[in-house]
Amino acid sequence: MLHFAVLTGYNLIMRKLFSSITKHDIILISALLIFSIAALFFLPKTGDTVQVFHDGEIVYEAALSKNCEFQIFGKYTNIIKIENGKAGYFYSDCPNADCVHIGMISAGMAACAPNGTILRIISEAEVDVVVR
Amino acid sequence: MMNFALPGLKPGFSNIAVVVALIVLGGRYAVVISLIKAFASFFATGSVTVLWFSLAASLLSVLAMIILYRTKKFSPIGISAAGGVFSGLGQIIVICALSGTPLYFYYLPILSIFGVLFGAIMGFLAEAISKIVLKQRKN
Repeated sequence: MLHFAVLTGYNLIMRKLFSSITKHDIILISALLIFSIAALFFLPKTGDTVQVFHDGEIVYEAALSKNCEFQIFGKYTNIIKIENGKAGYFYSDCPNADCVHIGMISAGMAACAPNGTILRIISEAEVDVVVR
Repeated sequence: MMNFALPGLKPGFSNIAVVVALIVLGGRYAVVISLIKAFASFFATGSVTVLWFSLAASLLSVLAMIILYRTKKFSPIGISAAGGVFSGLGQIIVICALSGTPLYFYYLPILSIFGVLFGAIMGFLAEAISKIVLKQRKN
């Protein structure tokens, strides 16, 4: 009995809340979500080569297994560290330092938009692909 | 799992005003409101980069929303969800143009997921508000 009452109440509230949602809405929203989530799965999961770009030009490219630490001077200063098969922004003096908060990554991409630098990890096979 | 810390990731409450304007006043007013919104964020931060981001994001999303609204097949929830996706797309186009590389499209899927979810919530709120506004106007 209580169960029935709760269910009816829930249905009434939902109908009231989402009275105007149309079939097209549901199709649109689920299509956008499915495409985005599918695209997430297509993003590379592993990589063995680090590439660093500054203002669209490649400034560093080497194996991920090679430990390295260097600075990039631009509008701001970034320190990039590559250590134990992971790479990341170790320090940045840009306003939010979002790039540092990404942490050390072993796949994918990190970027410092204010300084115009991008760090990405790709697999050997992709290296030859022209970026620009 | 991948780590994401994105500067552009915000719920976008100001989009409520644009959607309400679109429903209550029409497409032209929605464009005006989104322009005001973009310049307001420029005056609040004083950064020209923010102005470019805001202009591209809000103009692209308002155009997408107007087109969907004109089809008369979508409720504010769907309209606003699509707007969320297009504002993310606008931001990515701007950052690619500013940085000179298309690499930033890497972030499009995650931005779109958040754009759809937050956009749908904002559309729901916008619909509730526009109902109240329309009722007030009738009285």
